[in-house]
Amino acid sequence: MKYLYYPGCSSKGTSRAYEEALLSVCRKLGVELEEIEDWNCCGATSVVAVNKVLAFTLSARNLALAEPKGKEMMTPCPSCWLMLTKVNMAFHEGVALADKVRQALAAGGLNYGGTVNVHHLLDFLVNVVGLDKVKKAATDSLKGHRIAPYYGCQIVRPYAESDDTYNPQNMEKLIEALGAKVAQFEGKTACCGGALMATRKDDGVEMSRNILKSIKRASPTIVVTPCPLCQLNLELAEFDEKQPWKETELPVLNLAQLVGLGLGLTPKELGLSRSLLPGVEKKIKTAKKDSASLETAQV
Amino acid sequence: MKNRILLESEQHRDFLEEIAALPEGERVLSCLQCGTCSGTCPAASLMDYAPRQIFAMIRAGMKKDVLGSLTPWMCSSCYECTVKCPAQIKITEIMYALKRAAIKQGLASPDTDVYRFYQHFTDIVSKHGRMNEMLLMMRYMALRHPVAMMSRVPVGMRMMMTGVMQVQPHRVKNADSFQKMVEKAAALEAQQ
Amino acid sequence: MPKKRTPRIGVYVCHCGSNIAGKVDVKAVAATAGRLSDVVVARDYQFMCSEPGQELIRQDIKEHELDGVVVAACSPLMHEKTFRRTCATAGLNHYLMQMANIREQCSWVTEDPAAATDKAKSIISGTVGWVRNLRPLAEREVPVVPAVMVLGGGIAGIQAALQCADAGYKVYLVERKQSVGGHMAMLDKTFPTLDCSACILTPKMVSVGQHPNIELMTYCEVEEVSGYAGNMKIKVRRKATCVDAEKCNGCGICKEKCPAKVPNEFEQGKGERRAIYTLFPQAVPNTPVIDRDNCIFFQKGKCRACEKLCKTGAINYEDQDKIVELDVGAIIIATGHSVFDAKDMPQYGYGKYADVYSSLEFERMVNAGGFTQGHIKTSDGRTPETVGIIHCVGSRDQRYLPHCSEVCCMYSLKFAHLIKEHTGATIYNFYIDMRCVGKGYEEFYDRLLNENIRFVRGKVASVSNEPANGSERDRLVLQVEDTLAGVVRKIPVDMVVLANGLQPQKDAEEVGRLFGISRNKAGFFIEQHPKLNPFGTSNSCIFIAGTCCDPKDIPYAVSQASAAASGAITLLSQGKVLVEAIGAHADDDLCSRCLTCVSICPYKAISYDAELDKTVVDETLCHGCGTCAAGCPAGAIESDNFTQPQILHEIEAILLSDKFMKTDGEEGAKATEDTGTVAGKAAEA
Repeated sequence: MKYLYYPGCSSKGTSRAYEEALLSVCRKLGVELEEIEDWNCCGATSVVAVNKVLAFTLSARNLALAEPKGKEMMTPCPSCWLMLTKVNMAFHEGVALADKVRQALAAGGLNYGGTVNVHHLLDFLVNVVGLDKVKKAATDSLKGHRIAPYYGCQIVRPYAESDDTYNPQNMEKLIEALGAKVAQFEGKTACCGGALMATRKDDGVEMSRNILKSIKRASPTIVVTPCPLCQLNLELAEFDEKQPWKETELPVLNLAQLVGLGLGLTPKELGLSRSLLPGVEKKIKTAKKDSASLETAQV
Repeated sequence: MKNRILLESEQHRDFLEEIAALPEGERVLSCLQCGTCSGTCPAASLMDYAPRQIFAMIRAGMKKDVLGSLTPWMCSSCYECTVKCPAQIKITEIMYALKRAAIKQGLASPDTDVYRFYQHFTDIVSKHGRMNEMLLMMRYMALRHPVAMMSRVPVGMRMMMTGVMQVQPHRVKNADSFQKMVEKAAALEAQQ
Repeated sequence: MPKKRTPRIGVYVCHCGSNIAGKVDVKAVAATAGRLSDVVVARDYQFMCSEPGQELIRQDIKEHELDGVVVAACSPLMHEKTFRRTCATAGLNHYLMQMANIREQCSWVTEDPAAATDKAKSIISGTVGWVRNLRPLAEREVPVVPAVMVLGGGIAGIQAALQCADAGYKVYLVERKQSVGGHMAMLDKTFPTLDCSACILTPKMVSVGQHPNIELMTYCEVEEVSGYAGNMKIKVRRKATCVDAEKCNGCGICKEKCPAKVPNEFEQGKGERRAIYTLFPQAVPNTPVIDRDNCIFFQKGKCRACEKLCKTGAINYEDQDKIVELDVGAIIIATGHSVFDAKDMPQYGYGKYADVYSSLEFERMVNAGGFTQGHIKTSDGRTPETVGIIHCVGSRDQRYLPHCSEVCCMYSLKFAHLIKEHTGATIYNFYIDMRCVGKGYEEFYDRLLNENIRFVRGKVASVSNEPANGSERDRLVLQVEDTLAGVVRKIPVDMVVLANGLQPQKDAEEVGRLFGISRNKAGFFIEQHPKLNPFGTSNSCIFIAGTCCDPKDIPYAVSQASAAASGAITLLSQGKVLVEAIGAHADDDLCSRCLTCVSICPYKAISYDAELDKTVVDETLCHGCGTCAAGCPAGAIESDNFTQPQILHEIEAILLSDKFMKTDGEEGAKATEDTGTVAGKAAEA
C-alpha cells in the first residue's frame, strides 16, 4: 500500500537530513511513499498569526491534492501534522471556517471531502508500520546506547496522536524496539522555544539550553526528537558560535535518523553530516555505551 | 503596568464579548483567573503581561493595552496553557486571534517587530507556495536588524557547508489557481 | 342507571405572572378554550396556585356543577398536588383534575408568541379531550412498616440511625466495611474548632453499637430492593467474617501474629495490616475479619495461626456469606463519597514523586494513630522545612470535577495549622479563592493569616524535581503565578500536600439503580428539591444525607442526616401511606398470556397465576408507569386514565381541535367582567 507523503517546508531546507533519513528508512522497511504533487506550505504558526482562513486554506490544499490519491498521509513535522489535523477537525465539525476554506479552495479549482487521515512519522512507525516490523528489521547498531527521547510540544499538545499528553511513550517504545536503552529525563514535553528562534533568538536558545541541561542529567549518548525544528533548536543551543568547528559532545538526531541507525543504515543515507553540530557520526561511534548485558532501564 | 485610574468611558466595554464571540473564545467567560496559564507558560518571563493578566485586562475592556502588549508575540504556541486550563479555554488560539487583531487594527506593540516576521513569511508563502528561509531572513533582518543578522553568520556558514541552505525560492506549479485561492482566502478573512 | 350527563369541564388558564402571559396570549387562549365542546367555564388568572386562584376553581365547581377541571399552567410536578387538593376540598374527585403544561412545554420553550399561543390552544384542547373521558379514582391506604434502613455508617448514617432509634423505631444500619465511622474516622482534627475527630466520633459509634433499637449490620451489602412505598423488602448479603462475634473477646492476638502482611487501605496504602484485621483501633464492632484474598490459609491451605492462638475458639474458616431479608418502611441513603485520584492530574506529580501526598494520606500521617505515629516526615524520614499545600486538586476543573468540593479550603487551612504546630516549617497555601463560609470559618482563616502562613493566590502549574536555580537538590519545585503580586514564582519545597476534591462513590450508579434514585451529571444523588427538600428523593420513602448528594462539611452532613431522619420518622409515625391510585388492569378476553408484561414490569408487579390462568397485577407494587401497556402486543393491559381510547381522543383533540368547537347552535361564551368567559348554563343532556 502506498502512503502519501507531505514533506513540509523544512524538509527541503534546514531539515533536509530529516527527509533523507526518512526516505532511507521507509525504503529499508518496505514502505512505499508518494510525495504529494505540487504541495505547498501548511501555513502553521506564522500564517495563522496573520490570516487564519489563508493558513487553513493552505493546509487544506495539500489535503485536497492528496485525497484523490489515497486516504493515509504521513508527515515528519509536528507543526504541519497539527495544522493538517486542525483542518480535518474543522471539516468534520462543519464549522463556519470549513465553509470559508471550501470557498477559497473552489476559487483555486479544488475541493476537499475530509477523508484523508494524517499521521506524524512517530505514530506512523509505531502504529501503521508497527513496532514488530521495526523490531524485526533492527540490528545491533544501537545496542548499549542510552537515548533521551525529547518530544517537544505540538506532537503531544493539544492532541496526542495515539499517545499520552503528559507522559508520551511512543518514542520509548521505538527506542526499545531498536535494542537501545531509554535515558529518561524531566521535561521531555517542554517547549524548545522554536517559535521564537527567528525573532528572539537568545530567548529561544535559553529555553532549549534548559532542556539540554535536564537531558544531560540523564547522561544519554544520543538525544532524539521527532520535530525538525526542535532538532535545529537543540543543536543551536549546543552550537558554539565562537568555535563553530568544535565537535559535539551530545548528538541530536531526528526520529528518522535514529530509526535509520537502529536499522543499520549508513550515516550518509541518514544525512548525519548535515547536522549543525560537527562530529555527530564520530561521537555516535565513540560514545561511552553501557555493557550489552544491562537491560533497558529508566534513569 | 503603570499605576493609573481606568475610566469606563475610555475602555472598550464590549471587548470581552468580542473575544467571547470568536470561535476560539468559546469558554473565555468561565475564566477563574486561577493563574495556571501564566504559571505554566515557558515564555512568561518574556512578556510584559502574563497570559492570565491579559484575560483580566480583556475583562476590564483594556483593548489597546492588550493588543499593544508583547504577550501574543512572545507566545511560542506550546499549548501547555490550553491543556492545563481548568476552564478549558483555548488560550493559544486566542493568542493567535490577538495577533491577527493587533496587525489588522494597527495596534501591535512598538517594542517588537515579530509581526513583520509573520507578515514576510505569509507574503513569501502566498507568492511562492513554499517557504524559503534565506529569503525570509534577508527580508526580515537585513535592513532592520543588521547586528542580529551578523551574529547568525557562523550558523549560516555552517548551514551552507552542510548543504541545507536553500537559495532558490520554490515556484508553485499551478501558480494561477494558487493565486486565485490565496486571494479568495484573504478576502474571506477580511470580511469577518 | 343514572343518565349519562355530558361532561361539564372548567378550564383555567394561568398567567403565572409573566412566565406564561409574557409569551402566550392568555386571554385568547381562554376564549378559545371556552368555545370547546363540554367546556362550561373558561377563565384566565394571574396565579392559579394562589388562594384566590384556587377559590375560583372551588366556586366554579359548586356553582357550575363541574365534573372535570383543566388547569393550564406549569408542570404537574409543581402543582398537581395543589390543584388536586383544591378539587377534593370542593367535592370533586381529584383524578378528574388534570394539568395542561403550557409553561415548561410551551411558553418557556417557544420563541414566537403566535406559535406559542397556538400551541397552548392545542395543548388545552388535548387535555380537555382527555378529561372528557376520565374516570374517578381513589388512592388506597396501606400500613407502613415501623422500621428504617440506614445505608452507610459514616457520620451522616450514624446520626440518622441514632435519631430514628431514639424516636422509638427499629433501625437497621447497613455498612459495607467491617466498622462504622466512614471518612470521619480517618481524620485527625476537624476544622474550625480543631476537635479531635475520633474523640467526637467514637462516642457516637459506641452508641450506635449499643442502642437497643439499632441492629448494626457491618460487613454487609444490599443486593436487592423490592416492594412499594412504606413496605420495602431489602435483601442484604452478610459477608463472611470468619470470626464469631459472640466468642471473640477482642484480645487482638490474631492480628498481632498473622504472618500475611497487606497494604493498609485505611492508611491509604502506606503502612501495613494483616490478613486478619480490624479497620482501626477504635472500630465498632471491634471484631476482626479475615481478608480471604490475602489470607494464607484461604489462598494456599496452610498457616491457621489465628485459629491456633485464639483462646476462645472464635475463628471459623467455614463461615459463609448469608442473605438476610429486611422489611422496612423508610430508607435513608448515606453512602458517602470517594476522593479524587490525583494520578489523573499528572502536572502535580502524585504517584511519581514520593513526597507528594493526597489529602487523606496526609490526614493519616498527621494522626497519632497513623503510619508515622503522627510525625510529619518526608519519605526519607526528614522533618520538612518547607511544605506546599495545593488547593482545588481536581475541583473546579472542566476536565475532572467541575464543582467546588466545599471543604478543601478549610481542611487545607487546617493542614497548614497542624504542620506549623508540629514542625514550625515554612508553609505555602496555593489557592484560587478562599472559601470559608461556615460558622467560625472566616475567623479560622484570620487565625491562619496570623500564623505566618504564606498564602499565594494562584493554581500551581507544575510540580517537578527540576532545581529552580541550580542549587536545590532533591527538592520539589512548584511553579505558580502569584496572581496578586503579578509574578511567576518557582518555590522549592520538601513536601507537597494536595487538597483532593470530593466525588461520588465509584458504585453510586449501582446504588442509584438499586433504589431508583436519580443522579446528576456529576454522579451525585438528586434531592427532591434543591432548596426546599434537600434530604428527600423522588420516592417519598427514601431519603438521602451526607456527601452522597454533594460535598459538604460535618455540621451540614449531621444536619441533613437529622432532616432525613425526621422525614423517615414523620412517615413512620403516620402509620400508613397512600398508594397512587393509577394502576394497570388486564382484560382477560384480549390477553393472550404471552407474559410480555410480566417480564418488562420494572417493579415486578405483574405475575401469571397458573391456576386461574390469568395475569394478575399486584396493585400495591404497581406504580402506574404504563410500561406494560406500551409493551403488550394485544393492547390487553392498560393503565387507569391512560387507556387507548382516552389517549387517542386526546391526540385527536390536539390535532383536530376545530372538530371539538361548539357549533353555532350551542351557547357560545359570553364575556364576563374580569375573569374570562362563562357559557350560559348549558341544558342538561
